[in-house]
Amino acid sequence: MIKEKFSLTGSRGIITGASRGLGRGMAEGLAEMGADLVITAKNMDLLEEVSKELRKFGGKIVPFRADAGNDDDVSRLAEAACNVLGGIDFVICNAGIIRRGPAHEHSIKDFDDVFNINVRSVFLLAQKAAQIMITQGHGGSIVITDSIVSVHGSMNVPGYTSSKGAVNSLIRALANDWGQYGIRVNGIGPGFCETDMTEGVRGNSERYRYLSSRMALGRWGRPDDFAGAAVYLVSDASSYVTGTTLYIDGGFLSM
Amino acid sequence: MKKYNGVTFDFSGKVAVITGGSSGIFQGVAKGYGEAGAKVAIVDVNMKGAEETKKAIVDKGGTAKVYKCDVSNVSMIVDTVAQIIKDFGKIDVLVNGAGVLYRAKSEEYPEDKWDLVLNVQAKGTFFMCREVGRHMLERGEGGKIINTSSMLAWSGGYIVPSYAAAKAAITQFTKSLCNEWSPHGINVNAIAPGYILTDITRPIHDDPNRNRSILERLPVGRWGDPDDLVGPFLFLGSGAADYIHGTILPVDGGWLAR
Repeated sequence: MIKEKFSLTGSRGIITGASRGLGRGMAEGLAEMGADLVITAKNMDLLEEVSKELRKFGGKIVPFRADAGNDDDVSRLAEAACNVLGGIDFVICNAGIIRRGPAHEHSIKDFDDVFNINVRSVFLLAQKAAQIMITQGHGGSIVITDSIVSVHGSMNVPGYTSSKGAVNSLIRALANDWGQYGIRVNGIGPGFCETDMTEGVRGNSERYRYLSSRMALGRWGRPDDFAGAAVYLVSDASSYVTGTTLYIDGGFLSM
Repeated sequence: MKKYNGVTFDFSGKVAVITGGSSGIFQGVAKGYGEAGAKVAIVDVNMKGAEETKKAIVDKGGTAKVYKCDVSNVSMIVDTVAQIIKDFGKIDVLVNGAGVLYRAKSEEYPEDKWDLVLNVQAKGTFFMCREVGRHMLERGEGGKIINTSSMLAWSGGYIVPSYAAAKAAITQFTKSLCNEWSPHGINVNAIAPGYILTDITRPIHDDPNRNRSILERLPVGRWGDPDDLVGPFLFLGSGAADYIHGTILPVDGGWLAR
């Protein structure tokens, strides 16, 4: 049956940064389609709350406290998830941070912090998960949260923009290395969304007006706009899709 | 909790128009829409293949009708789209799959073949969009349009200059249409298939040298199957893709990444 291509019943995976924003939106879609999930974030209270909501769909939902900036947390995440879920079929490396400040004033600490979480820990988690998938021997799907800023540059976020440029390339590198094991690696590239991460820019009325005018659709993205794409990329519906970033931007890049 | 109603991939009550649905990738896509509950209008010049597609849908309990239309002929497009709307009452999804390919060295490329390829692909796709898009605007309930791009919108291909040009054209006007129609709830996107084994690509698949060089570059190490495209075309036609506008979605086994 065709709809089974999108089904995630019996599928087990990890999603990081799932306590709010786009990660939470994606986790809802995955849970609704039947996935068993390990969801991570730093804030355990929020994570428990999300877990409670996701359990309504009937799957196994395990909250796991992990600081994406901490190597030890990230290193043990894949194995811990594998143990508690009985295997790993997909990972969504979504946790990320942003620091604002024009390039000539952007501190090197901010730059390093952003790269540490947005790039280094993404690679580490993807690598640990891929090792498990290779041992399991039946492939898998890895999704990394990219951004339209890997194409258009944005303003006053040089660390963030270059970190997304790095994962944009990393997606292709990993797809090439792991294709032979049946592991697909793709990106989801959000446009400007109404989340905590964009609070700084939404608070600036001039920038808000300008950015809104650049979206063909004329509205900012919402967390639930990303649920379907997450389901698509980790399900069999995208069986021949790898090494790409799917931009979900209300037509920002087309303008 | 807010119910995310797009992720069911159920097309019951929807009407989907599939051009090129008589064979290859788009026969599979048409069957996929039929299986997912949509009423399917199959638009093609090859009536034998279109009837096969229809039978496969009807045999599984679905609804389908065939329409003979050469999409390089705009007046036929106008009549066909009007007839589909008359028969089904509306159009929710348009998949533009109709295409032809002609291989010849550029120094010898015949003018009539250049026109044929550009007219079926670029002109046919655009005017299908124009007719169906206008209906969607008038109806005021949005809709989904999915065009077919190609790897050759990025690279130039080999001895298929007209095909590369046509696919690049489709890729760009997909974004143009997005910019005009997205405020009206019409999503216009394109899918870019890689090397998918169909009648069109069989000659290069059967050429041992070309086949080897293609497989060497493919991270997944295999040609695509038409069935690999069904999920992507259903995804972009569904509510799951409501915020996706003007995107070109490669389905290529990693070809572009290598």
